[in-house]
This record gives sequence, structure tokens and C-alpha cells, in this order.
Amino acid sequence: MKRYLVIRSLQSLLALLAISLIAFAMSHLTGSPVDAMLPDDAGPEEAARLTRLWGLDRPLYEQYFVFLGNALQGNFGDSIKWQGQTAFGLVLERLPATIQLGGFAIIVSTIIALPVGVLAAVYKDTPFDSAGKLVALLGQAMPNFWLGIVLIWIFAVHLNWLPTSGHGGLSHMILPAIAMGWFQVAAFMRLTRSAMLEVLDSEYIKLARIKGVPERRVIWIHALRNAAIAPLTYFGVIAGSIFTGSVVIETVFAWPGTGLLAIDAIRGRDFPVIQAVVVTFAGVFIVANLIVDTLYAYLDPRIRYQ
Amino acid sequence: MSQIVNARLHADRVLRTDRPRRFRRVARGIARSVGVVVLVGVSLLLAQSPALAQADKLVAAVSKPGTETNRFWSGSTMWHVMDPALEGLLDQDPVTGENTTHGLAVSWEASDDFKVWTFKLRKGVQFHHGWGEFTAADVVHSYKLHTGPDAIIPTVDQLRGAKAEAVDKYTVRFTYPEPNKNLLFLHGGRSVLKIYSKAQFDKEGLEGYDRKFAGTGYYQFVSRKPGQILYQRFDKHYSSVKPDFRVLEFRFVDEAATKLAMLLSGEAAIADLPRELMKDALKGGMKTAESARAVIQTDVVLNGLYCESGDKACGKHLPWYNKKVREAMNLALNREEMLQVLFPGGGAKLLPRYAMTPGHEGYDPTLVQRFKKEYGYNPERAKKLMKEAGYPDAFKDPTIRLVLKPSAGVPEVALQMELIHQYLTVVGFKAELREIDHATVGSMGRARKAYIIHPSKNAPPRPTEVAFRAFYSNPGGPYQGWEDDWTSSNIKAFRAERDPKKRDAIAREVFNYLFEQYVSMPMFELRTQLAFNPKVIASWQFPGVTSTGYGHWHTVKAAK
Repeated sequence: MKRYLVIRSLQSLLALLAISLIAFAMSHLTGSPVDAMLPDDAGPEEAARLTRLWGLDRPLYEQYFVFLGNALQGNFGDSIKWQGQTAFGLVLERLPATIQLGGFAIIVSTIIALPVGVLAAVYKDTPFDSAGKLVALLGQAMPNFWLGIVLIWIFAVHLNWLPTSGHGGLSHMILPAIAMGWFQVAAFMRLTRSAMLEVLDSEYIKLARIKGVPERRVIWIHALRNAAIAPLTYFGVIAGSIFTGSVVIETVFAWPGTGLLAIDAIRGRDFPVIQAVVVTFAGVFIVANLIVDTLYAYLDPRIRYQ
Repeated sequence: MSQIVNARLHADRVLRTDRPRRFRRVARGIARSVGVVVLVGVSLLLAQSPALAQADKLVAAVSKPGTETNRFWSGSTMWHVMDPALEGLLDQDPVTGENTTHGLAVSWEASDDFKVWTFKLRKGVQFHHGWGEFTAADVVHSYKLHTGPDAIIPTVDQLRGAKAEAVDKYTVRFTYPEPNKNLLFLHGGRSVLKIYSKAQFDKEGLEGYDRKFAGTGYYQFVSRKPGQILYQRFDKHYSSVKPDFRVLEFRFVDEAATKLAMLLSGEAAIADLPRELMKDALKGGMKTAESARAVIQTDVVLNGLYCESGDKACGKHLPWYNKKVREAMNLALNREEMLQVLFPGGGAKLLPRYAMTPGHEGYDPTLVQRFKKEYGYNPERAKKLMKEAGYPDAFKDPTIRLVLKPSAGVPEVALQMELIHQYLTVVGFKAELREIDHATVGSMGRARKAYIIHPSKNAPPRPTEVAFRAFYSNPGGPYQGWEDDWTSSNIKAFRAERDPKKRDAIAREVFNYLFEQYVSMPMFELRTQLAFNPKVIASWQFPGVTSTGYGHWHTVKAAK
């Protein structure tokens, strides 16, 4: 297990290095922040002055090594668009809002999807199963920006129960979390259901029943633990995407998270912020996957012995 | 073996017979749980339902500024959200838009050669947060900040180069090495110099500004969070005007539908909606506030015509290098119809020549009269001109490449470009739409390789000299497309001339020439419109200056 963890950690570091290079190259390929930041009537002298000021006149490899050296010390440079703030400081400032919303969405989707998925498998082909499948179908078919706007119009404009947008208390989180989490509920539930169906038909479950193990224990302990691998893998994927923020949901709900920060930085070609965001996001994904892989190895001994 | 089979059958039977009973039990349990959760949730939510706009608080849902910083000089498109706290030397009359003596400067004068500008400052003006009295030293300090290496505010290159000095406590002088005839525009309509407290800077540095800057405006800065700025009324303002609202809160919202929802739900009292949503706001009982004067001129630039003698960048291969093609493209457009489709709520009119503005040098009213005849919708004549130009066979690449890009402050531009694509296609042009973002168009323009047709805007309408420099000169801005020997030499003569009458005559001649050469596809002149909730706001009068077009938040009158 220890060897497995060491190898996976080294692979993660290598991936992070590759991502930093890709992030640097891709952001510079999009053009210069000078063009995004300068007003329409700025002449060539202004463009040249800013190019020098932001160090964009230096060779690309030199810019990359400066970036890498600073990044290793946690310094991604100063933001171009948000003057007076560091790039990494901005990511850290916005991350709590994203984690708050993403965490809430994951909790909501897990609380709903897991039991519904299990019960849909246990009560296969009953009205409960059909209702579950309908929810899943709707969740996967509806674009989340559209769902978000519909939710705003129903619950904020017409019923006036919830705020339309912005960052605040629990009430501000409900609509974006639903809009964000519904798709995950659908996917998560379908995966859980199909995995449970497969497990419930296996010999050891039948044996457990014959041996008189209580049905509740058979389903929620024996079957679910073995059926959890597929949804758990998926959980690693969605945890990464949810904790790095949803550009669409954060835009619709004016939620000041990292998703919105990323899109604003890209629009403004704010290289330091783009790089800080991408490397942080990559870190989140890598850590999430590392955790999932570790859990995976814990749940399935065959993996850690391979 | 038979025991195992029997056990299996038994287990299956148990599961089958037990299913409906257990299903009902589980369903009842879930229903109960959901009921409890909903009840608790609703109670909680009703207890903390969204705060409606209170009588003493004004919430404005506005588009995100170009940059989010307290350092005005190193940001862009921030006037609408910095205006409450930061003032420039000149104030504008909210009804006429003209510069007034009601601001920080009570009078000003320029030397005959426009090199030396002297401003007399108002006495007894206090900075926010107890940072003392405003003096000439604050102006000199702010000038240095606004022309420093990190300054990117529009037109800063024209603000630079002066020796700024405090003549006495209430007099400041700017001395330029060259005539600067447009300094009042920079301080007024453009509003590029905002006054910060030197005392605060000396004590706290830039970090102090980042934390809590002090200005002299009607509102003082309270806090900034991602997506939000909060201001509070400054009761020691030198003016006798007292804003009706004690607190002013800006919420930055990019999604137009969300802004409309905020307005209709009562969360915000003002929203800068795109015109296509304005009718929904009006249906919902909202009203519109409109700028006193036109803020934006829009144009479709036929770029790539860098055709001064010997310029290798000249796009001779482009179909629109041919004047007949340019004329045909203009005649193919039904601008009246476009006006109805794009701006059903009004606030817009046709623009005969881009960058030509009433009241500015070279304005020629006869072009307004000639416009209908020479630029009016005439598809038959457009087809005839195309035939005379040999379009498409005479061109190696006859494709008309139209850029689809967003334009800050004019969300209708995307639809406008789609309509133009249709009009051009109908008369027989091989037109195609390409999505290219604004900055990329700028990159192409700076590289002098923008062989494309793209929307452009002049906001606020610049003085003629500034507009000539930005749109028809080499080197000019990157979002221009026309250079030729005649235009360059006449603009040069215009800039060198000091006699106002002669300047006006030259500028008029230039506008006539550009008009007759069909150098671009001039579109519309727009006023800024915002929707407001009449239950909270009685009226709002603002002049229509700066690139964002609205401000003067102290003139928002509360509904009784």
C-alpha cells in the first residue's frame, strides 16, 4: 500500500509539472493581455510600454522559468486585471465560496442520489424506480444554466422565497446548489443503481440472505460496499469539477467563486491569474483522484497488490 | 446441492412477497422525511428571505467593470462604480452634459498655445474618512499616479507629458511641451483623472487605497468584496445636494436574465439591462432612465485599408478595397429596419458619419441630409455597383469576413452583425461570420493584419482631433481601418492649425471625404438606458459622459 501511494504521488507531481507548462503555453498562445486591457484608442507606444512593464517582451522560455521558479514558492505574480492583488491570493480568496457551493451541492446530490439509487435497484421496476429514472433523465437532459434561470424565476421572482443571486447565507446557496447538483444526482443515481443491480444478483449476497443476515444489513453494508466502487470513481471526477467551480452556474448566480474568476481572467488574458487558477485546479483534481485511488485500493485489495 | 437450490428459491420468494409491503413502508418514510425537510426549509428561508430594497439603501445590479480594483488609474471601464466616491476636476451638468464649475475646479484657463492649463480649486473640500482638506498637492499627487507606469486608463497617453505643479494651495498648473487642446475632454467627458488623498498615500501607501481609499465624492467607500462594492453617503460633501439614499450597493452581475430577475424580485432597484430585456422590465412595471446625451457611436469598420503610399500592409486584395464594393455594402443595409429590431425601446438613431459629433469640430449637418440618399437602403443599386466592380469574379477571394464579437455596453452588436450578414448575402455578397474576441481583433490591428470587418464604438464621442487620431491615422488605435495620403495630410494640417475656423473647415472637409469614400459602415448613436423600480426611485438624471455612460448616483431621487 505504501509503495502504491508513493508511486501515485510521484505521478501526481509529474502531472502537475506538465500542467504548468501546458497552462503557460496555452495562455500565451491566446495573445497578449495588453490587447485585452488597453482601451480602444491606445496607440502603439502605450502597448509597447505595457508589454515591457509586464515582462512580456522577454523570451517565452525565460518567462516560463521565472513563472515556474516563483510558482514553486507559491508566488504566481501580481494580477494584471485585479491590480493590487496577487494571483494566488485571488484564487485563495475565491476558493472558499466555490468549496462552500460545491460542497453543498455534493452533499445534496449524495444524500439524494445514493439512497435513491440503492432503493431504485432494490425496488427495480416499481413506480419508485420509474420515478428515479425520470429524475435522472431530467437531470441529465436539462442544461444547468437553463435550470438555474428557471429556478430563479420560480423561487426568487414569483414566489420570492429565495434570493436570485449573490453570495450570502444558506438561502443564497440553495438554488445554485440544486442547479449544479441535479446533473450529478442523475449521474450518481444511475451509476449506484446499476452497480447495485449487479451486486444484488451475486452469489455472496444470496448466501448472506440464506444465512439470515438482516435485509437492511445485506443491502446497506454488504451490497453497497461492493457496489460503491463505480460511483466512488465518478465521485472523484465530479468532486474535482465541482470544487474547481462551475463557470456557468457562478455566472448565472453571480457567485464569486473560482469558476467566475477563471473566466474573467481568461477574458482579460490575465496570465498570472490564469496560471494560478489552472495549477490550483489541477492540484485539486490530482488530490481528489489520489484520494479516490487510495480509497479504491482500500476497498478493493486486488488493486493495491497489482 | 438441492439444499442450496431450495435456499435460493426461498430467498427469492421472501424478497418477492416482501417487496410491496417494504416498498410502501420505505415510501411512507421518505415522504415523511421530505415533508419535514421542506417544512423546516421553508421556515428557515422565510425567516431569511431576500432583503428588499430598503428606503435608505439603493442596490444597483450592474455589469462587471473591466477591472476590479480601487486603483482607478490601473483599471478600465470602472467609471460607473467608482463615480460615487471619486471626483475629477470637472463636473458635468446632469441635464446638458456640459462641464460646470460645480466640481473640484471652480475655474480654468488655457494659454493661447494650449500648452499651459491652470485650474483654480474649490476651498474647504474634505476627503472621506477624515483625511483632511483637498488641495493642489492632491491634484499633483493624483496626476503622478494616473500617469505612472501602471496606468492603463483610456487616453492616458494624452494626459501624460505635463509638468504638474501646485502654484498655491488652491491653484494647480499643467504645462505640456506640445499644445493639448483636448485636456478638458480628458478631465470632463473622459474623466481620466480622479482625485485621491495625498495625506492617505503618504501615511498608508497604495495598500491604504486598496483597503479603504478616500475620495471627495457624494458617497464614501465602505468595502469591496468579490462581486460587490458598498458605499455610504458622505454627509460632509461640499455641495448642497444631499443624496436621497444613505447606502449605495453595487452588485456585479454578468447574466442579463439574472439582473432582470433581481429587478423584478425587488432585490435591486436599478439594473443596466440590454435593450432586448428592457421591454420585459417595462412589462414588469419598471421604468427607464436615459442619459441626457448620446454616449456611444457605433460603426462597422472595413479594416485592413492601410493604404498610404508605399505601405505594404495595404489590403489591396480585399473586396472592400474597391470603393464601389464599399458603397454597395452600405446600400445593402436597411438601417431603419435594423434600428427597429435592435433598439425597439428607443434611445438610438442613425449616425451619418462615425466620429462626427454635434458640437465638435467639423460637424457637418448637410451629411445628415445626404445620408438617406447616399447611404439609404437600395439593394438594386447595390447589385448594380457590385456588377460594375466585377464582384465576385474580379476578386481572388471575394469573401466578406464579418467578425462576431461582443462589445461592452452594446450587447446588440452581435445581432447587428448577424443582420448585416443577412443583408449582404441577400444582395449577393459572399459573406461569412467569424467569432473573434475583442482582444484578438486588437492584436490583429496592432500587427496591421486585421483584414476583417468588425464592429467598433466611439464612447464617449471623442473630440474630433482625438477621434481622427484613434480612427483615421497611422499610427492610430488598432480598431480602425482607413489610412490614405489625402486623409493623413489633412489630419496633419488640422492638428497643426490653431485658428478655430480653419480647423473646423479642415475637419469638415475630412468628414465629407470619409463620407464620400464610404470608408466604413456607420451605424447608430446611442443613449445609455437603465431600468429602475419606480417604487424605490422617482427619477434619475445623468449626463451621459465617460465610456460607461452613466454615473451621477447622487442625482437618484427616492420615491416617496
